[in-house]
Amino acid sequence: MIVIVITYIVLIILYIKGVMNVFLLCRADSKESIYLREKGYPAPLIYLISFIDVIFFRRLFRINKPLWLGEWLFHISFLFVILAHLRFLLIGLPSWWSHIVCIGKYGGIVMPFSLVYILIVRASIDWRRYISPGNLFLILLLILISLSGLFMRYINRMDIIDVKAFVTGIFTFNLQPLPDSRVFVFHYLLGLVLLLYLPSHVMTAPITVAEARRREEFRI
Amino acid sequence: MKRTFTEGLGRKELAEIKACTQCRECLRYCPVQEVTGRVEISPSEKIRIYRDFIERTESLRALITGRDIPEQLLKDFTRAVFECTTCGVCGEVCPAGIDTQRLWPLLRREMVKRGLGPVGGQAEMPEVIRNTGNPYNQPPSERYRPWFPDETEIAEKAEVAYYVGCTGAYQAQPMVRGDVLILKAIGIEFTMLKEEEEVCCGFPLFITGQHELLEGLVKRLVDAYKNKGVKELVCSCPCCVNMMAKDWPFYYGKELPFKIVHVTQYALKAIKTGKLRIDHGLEERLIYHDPCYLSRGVGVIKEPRDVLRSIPGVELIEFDRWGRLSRCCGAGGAARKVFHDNAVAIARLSIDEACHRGADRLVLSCPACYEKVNDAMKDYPKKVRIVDIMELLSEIIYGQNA
Repeated sequence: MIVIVITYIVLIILYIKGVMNVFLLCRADSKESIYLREKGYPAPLIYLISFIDVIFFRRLFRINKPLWLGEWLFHISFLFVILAHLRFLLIGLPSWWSHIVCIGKYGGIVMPFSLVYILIVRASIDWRRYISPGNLFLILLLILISLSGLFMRYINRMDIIDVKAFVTGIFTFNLQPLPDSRVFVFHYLLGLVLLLYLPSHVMTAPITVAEARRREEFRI
Repeated sequence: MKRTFTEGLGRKELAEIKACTQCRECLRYCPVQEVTGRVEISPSEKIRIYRDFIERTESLRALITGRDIPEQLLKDFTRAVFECTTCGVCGEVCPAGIDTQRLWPLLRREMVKRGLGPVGGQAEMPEVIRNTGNPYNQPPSERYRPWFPDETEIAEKAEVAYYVGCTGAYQAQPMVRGDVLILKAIGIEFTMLKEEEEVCCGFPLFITGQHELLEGLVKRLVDAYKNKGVKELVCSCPCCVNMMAKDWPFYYGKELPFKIVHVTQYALKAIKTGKLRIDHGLEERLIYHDPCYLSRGVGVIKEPRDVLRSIPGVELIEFDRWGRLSRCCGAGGAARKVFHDNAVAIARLSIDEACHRGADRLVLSCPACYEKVNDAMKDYPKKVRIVDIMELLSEIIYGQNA
């Protein structure tokens, strides 16, 4: 029961946070904001180039290739792991979703390795200066989540039907018993912590990266 | 109602503040970090703290913990944001593409509006500019006279105008003298505003977050050039060029009636069309330093190099970091007077590298760099001859007595 209460508290917090962020962004059409005069591309081309920048992390590739490798692998594997997890949340996913789940399975293996690799790359520069406490916490959190996920997938397999019934029950207010696994509870609770701690760059960085491309092309 | 921390930000800036991943890649390039090593004043920390200000006052956390921010935290942040040289290399290397060269002035403006900034002598700038038309408190009558080349004609009206800029006029006179000599050598008819009419472009006010006078200054200047029938406004100061190209349209209220051109662009065009001939050579190893607001600001990177390569005999070498990744000279962000030690230490990094690479001369194209690098060589064992790009060109064209 306590896990369910925690889940609803987290969801309410996320809802309020989301609404407040949307409100802030909508309000931020400040009269005090400075007008930027920037030359643009023809629309389709800038969308395409910016999209490539976002997908392949071109900016990071340009300045730190070893780190880029770890970050890109992590983000892409994380994306597929999340997509694969949607099968626990949604009913009626198309049959081709099984391919996504399959990629997500490999993503789940790549994820902890890429995170450890990121830590090693950062530590090889200067541990104290180049790892912020927030960043370190997030990486450790993700490592724990991914390891517990791998444990449930390959060592102590969970009954997917139980998991799905529990998770969908929360969203449909048709509460179902918590699957009987300490590892699952651990994984699930850490997932909630991640939701609370999810960095805002997940939502905004694609926009700023796309905008940066326009800026780079600015010439007098 | 109490002022909020997002009030002075547009959607772009707010998204940027939220986009910082705290990866700290910027720390490896930040010149202030290079000389101070203080992580607490690093770009990523400034963004984290400002984000914290927003969360403390305008988020769910504000409802729970209250909206107060300790005064000391605000003061420390203000100092950090004003200690920056606003060179923008942090934004250039930012994986999230945050436009820091534009963001820092806005955060500075916020602190000014809260009565916490600017710092040191920067606070006197608006009054000094209002009284003298320049931030150096120098008489307008001395703006051109001490350095202007003899027998150089200024047309009353012309399609090309030359804007000197305050730093060049009062602090780096060989540089602006070189500009005028090159315009003269090109043989183009050009105009200039009268000494008392050519006021500050507004950059020092913009960069220190004191924006009140900007609209008046910009309108005055743009209308004056418009009345002279100007189609191209040539300027050598990267800060002025950046301000004119990016911000003047906003403060003027519409697109400018003329084009902004950096002097190296103008000179290169003249070289290519044969209007400017370089008959004499120069057997020297030159190293060119990219000014932050010229390279990262307005993308002028190739033209100065092409100008230098057009001099017969010149061997052009590069800094380890050049172009959009170039290192600040330390003079940027109106911080060079207030945080003098930082500025000198940063400038010495470039001097060291120029010496290490065996350059005969360090070529600059910014009056602030010119002044600061000169300053940094005082009482410093390593020396490199410095020269402005147009000063060098005029020396070659007119001889040593240019």
